[in-house]
Amino acid sequence: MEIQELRNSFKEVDKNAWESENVGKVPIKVYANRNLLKKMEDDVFRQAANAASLPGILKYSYLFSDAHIGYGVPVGWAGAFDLEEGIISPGAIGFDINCGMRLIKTNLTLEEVKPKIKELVDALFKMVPAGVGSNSPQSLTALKSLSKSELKEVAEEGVDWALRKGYGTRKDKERTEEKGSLKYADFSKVSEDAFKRGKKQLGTLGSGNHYLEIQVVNKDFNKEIANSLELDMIKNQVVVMFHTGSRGFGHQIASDYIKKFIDYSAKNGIDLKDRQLAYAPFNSEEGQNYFKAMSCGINFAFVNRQIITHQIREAFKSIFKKTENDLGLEVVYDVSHNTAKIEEYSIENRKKKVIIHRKGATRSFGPGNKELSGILKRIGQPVIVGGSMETGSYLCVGTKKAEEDSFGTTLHGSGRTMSRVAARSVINPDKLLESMKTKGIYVKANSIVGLTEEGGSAYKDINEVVDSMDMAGISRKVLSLRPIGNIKG
Amino acid sequence: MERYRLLKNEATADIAFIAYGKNLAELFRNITIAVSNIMILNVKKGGNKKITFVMHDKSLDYLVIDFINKIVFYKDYKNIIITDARIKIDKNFNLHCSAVGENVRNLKDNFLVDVKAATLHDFKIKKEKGLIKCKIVLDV
Repeated sequence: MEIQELRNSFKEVDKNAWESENVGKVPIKVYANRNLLKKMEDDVFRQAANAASLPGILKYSYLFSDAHIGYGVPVGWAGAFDLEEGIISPGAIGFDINCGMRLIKTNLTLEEVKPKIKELVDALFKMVPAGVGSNSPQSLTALKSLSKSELKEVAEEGVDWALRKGYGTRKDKERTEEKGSLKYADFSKVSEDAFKRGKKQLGTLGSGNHYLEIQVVNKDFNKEIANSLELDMIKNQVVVMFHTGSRGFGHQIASDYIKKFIDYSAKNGIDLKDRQLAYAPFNSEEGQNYFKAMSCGINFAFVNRQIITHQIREAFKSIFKKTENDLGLEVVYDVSHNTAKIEEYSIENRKKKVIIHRKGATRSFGPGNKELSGILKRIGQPVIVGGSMETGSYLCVGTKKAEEDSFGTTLHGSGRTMSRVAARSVINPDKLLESMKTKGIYVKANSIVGLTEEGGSAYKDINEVVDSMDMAGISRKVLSLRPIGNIKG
Repeated sequence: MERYRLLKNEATADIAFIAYGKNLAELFRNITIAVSNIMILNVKKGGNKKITFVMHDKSLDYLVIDFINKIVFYKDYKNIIITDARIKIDKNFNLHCSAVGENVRNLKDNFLVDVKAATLHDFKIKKEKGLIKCKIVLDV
């Protein structure tokens, strides 16, 4: 089908939910308002159509309101595959395995933090290494160069390892997707190069769109749910949000297996529409090896965010001279973006386990889901949506409708509108800094040029992408959050 | 002759560039210079760290991708930004690289963005009027 014909075939089947004609084995389903749908690039649909032709794909090739071009499939995409007939593909997961968001609450208010924001951001900048090739924090000597057996424990145990080493609490684990540990992880499927890249990188932020932000609760859309999460209990409550993933470790796993799967395709006569979307049957030896290695990447990223959480707690304690308890530094939730996981859904009134790929997309489980515990069982899983450093972010919750309609998946962020090179030429660094200062945001970055790549105008309107999903009933808005301090790699 | 050119209107989330070379050795050298300049603002060629490696691939496409991934590997593993390289490639795609670089710590004030992988997305390599042109998209 020609791309214009495909674009013209979309029909609105529900509020902000659009279905195309069948483009392979299944149609494409887009969750977005009319304006965002119209603005999505042609290649987004080409890539979603390629994914719709993959063996064993179920129901739809999904796009969300933040979708933009990716490698293999778009960022802001999801697809569920049959465990027997389906495939697994690194390109449909992403290079940065388990790139994700964590939100931490505090008991502090804007009035208490504002006078110390520079000191706080500077301390965090020092304690959470960011930028090109950054290594584990100086203060955490035990992490400076992990042995192979230590990294094996990290990769196979996930957050349990971090807890065992004193970097977190049981509650942190409860508030992490998959409780911070995938049992399928098998370090023997990870290459020597991945080990070498990852052994000095725990507790680091990275660069690009990875950031750490001090934010203030801006507006509530569901005070009851916010209060259940101990948020919005006090006026101008301060929270901490950050975005990072599995660093070089996860990237190496993805690079290694894309190459292996291209070889697998050649040997097995698979005609790939896009080499970046190379795959292997999920149940094949090659598919299982990647699944086990990728699960190591997922666990590594959970530990990375847990170590950063530890560093954030230490920074706040040293700046505010209070105990962790008094500061109320507790994890609200930790969500993953780039994953493939086995989950169970009801398809045509039958329970079925699927391998759900999410690339630049967030799990969105609703109230009552058996994977959720404590208060989350009543309110649904928190969905943390990071915006640009200028425009703010959102806290949402998952819905039953997402479980029924989109394999429990929703958007992950704003989605970019221009390339980094274009952003450098369009966004003036001095004006950007001035604008952020006017908005009351203190920024600490390695490079001002690098900072311009992440300016607000390089991204879609966060309000529009979040509202699109809210109106579609796939995730519900709880709070908007605005930045007051930002660290960029 | 231009060594490389960054592409403004491609790779929405990442960075795309075209590298040029009169021969493969020059192309790979210019790719090295492009990748280091994408990571570090106005980085100078040279440095006191020396790295030598050999690699082989069954096609030129994969040799380019694996070569960039090797540069990325040394950045993470040894904390060295490779800034220049002398390359030898034979007709069977055996590559020998003698590279020089700088410790990441010494360049931290000029960090731009961390290159994490080379991709096959929209990868192109062709020879036109005696000049080899190679388009590469980097995941950052």
